[in-house]
Amino acid sequence: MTQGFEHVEATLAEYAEVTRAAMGDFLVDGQPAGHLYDLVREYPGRGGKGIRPSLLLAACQAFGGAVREGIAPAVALEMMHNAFLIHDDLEDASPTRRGEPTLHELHGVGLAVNAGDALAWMALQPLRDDGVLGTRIAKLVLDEFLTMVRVTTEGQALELGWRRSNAVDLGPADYLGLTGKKTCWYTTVAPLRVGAIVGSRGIAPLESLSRFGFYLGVAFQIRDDLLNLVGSDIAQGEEPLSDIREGKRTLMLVHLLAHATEGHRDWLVEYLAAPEDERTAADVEQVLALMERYGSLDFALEYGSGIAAAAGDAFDDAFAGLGVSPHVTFIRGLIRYMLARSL
Amino acid sequence: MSDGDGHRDDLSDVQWRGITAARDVFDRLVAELDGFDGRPPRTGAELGTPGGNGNGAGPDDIPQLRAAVARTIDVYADLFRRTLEVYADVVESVLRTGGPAAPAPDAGGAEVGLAAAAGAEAVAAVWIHNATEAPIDVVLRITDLTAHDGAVVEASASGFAPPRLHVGAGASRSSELTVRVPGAAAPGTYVGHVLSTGMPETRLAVCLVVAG
Repeated sequence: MTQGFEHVEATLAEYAEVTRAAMGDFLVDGQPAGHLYDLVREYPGRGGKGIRPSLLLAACQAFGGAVREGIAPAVALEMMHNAFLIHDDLEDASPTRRGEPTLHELHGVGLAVNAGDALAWMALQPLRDDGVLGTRIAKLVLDEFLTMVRVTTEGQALELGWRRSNAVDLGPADYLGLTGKKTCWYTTVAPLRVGAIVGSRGIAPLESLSRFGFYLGVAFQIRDDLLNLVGSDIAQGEEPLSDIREGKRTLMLVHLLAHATEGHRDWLVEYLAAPEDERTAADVEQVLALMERYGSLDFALEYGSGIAAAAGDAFDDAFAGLGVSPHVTFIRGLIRYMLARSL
Repeated sequence: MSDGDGHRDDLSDVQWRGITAARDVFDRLVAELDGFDGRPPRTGAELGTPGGNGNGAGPDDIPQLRAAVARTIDVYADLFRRTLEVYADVVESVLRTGGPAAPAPDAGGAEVGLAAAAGAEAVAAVWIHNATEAPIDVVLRITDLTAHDGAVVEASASGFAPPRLHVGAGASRSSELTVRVPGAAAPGTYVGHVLSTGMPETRLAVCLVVAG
């Protein structure tokens, strides 16, 4: 439990448990178990905070719906998230996920890719019109998922493309655009939109919710990126400094590229151009030292805190007129929870 | 405060740059999504919310009221659609097996169509129209339903709810006819009649299609 966030964490745990229990109905059993169906269950079985389904279910109830109505989209979202992770780990050559070896490390690339495909297929099953949502809302929810998958894969392509072409002339806005697509849409924006659509039967104003979700997601991601460099994410199964080793275009790296002297910048560009397995631990530490020297970490912290403040204002705008409810209170608490992790 | 800009005076220059950049990027992303598959991101205005995004536009209970109305409409719309689908399935099944579209000559044209698999139940409404100027009391009964080869679905397998009707002058009433198709019934078309005391001259042809 995190001091001051006991209620948020308890509610998160409840939503995560409800989602996991419902997910069991859609995680197909069969043969070949050892080469497919066991692999599909691997990441969902490792848990996770369940921020996405929690946001969706809380928004659903805040707008007048019930958990019974939001649970199928919440399950679909969590399954899609896990499918993304399988392929994402492979694309980033990540060795660990949630404290354990990644799926491709355990079973090889081929089986991991196939398991990711299967999980993405299974994730679509809860979205079928089963009579709970009704035809009209089920279609709106499916539209949201189609948009979410498209935006997310575009974001992932953007990042991988930047690394492949060694893009170095980037600004903070480029980083925000990337993060908005790659992470925010399916982590915060889509859960809020889908929850509101289901809860309000499609009448909720979505743009203000999307804006809130975008600001919250970006502020969260900046914080997450900082934690990878100076935090203690090892406990969550992430490898420290892995972003630098992978050459990930974080806000700190973008700032450093724009502010380093010519000599340091040339060295950095050369470092980023080298294959990942040729980047030494000393190189990685050197990049971190440069970030500290040029104020890139402080810049990102301050830049992100401004966006976090905007997220608070956007929250008030998005949930205006709904009145006070435990669900709105929970979402408000989630803002602080997502952004308060210590550096 | 409509777009989460923050309070400028309380913010550092870096914080303000972060906010303005995030606002611009979000607006650009939404504009980009406008072109997605010709389906723009839906806003309150497109959904008919008064005053555009409608945030804080009315009393607290208005969104809940609108959601409740939308929920009710959806329930009835789905019910209506599913009813039509069931009706279409029955009609298609009857047509495929040569039911009312090609009735037996002595059936006089089936006026009550039923379809079910062996072992299942078929249900249809039977309407009694009283064109006279006096009320009548009607007791409904059904004959055995007989196939071309002599196979029979006995009358005892059927029932009406309610079995008795009081029909006012010039009025119409309905009763629900349920036929429990025996599990051993062979696929085919079974015909018979609905008869009634109180209307001795009236008979309704019944056509039951047992699916193969």
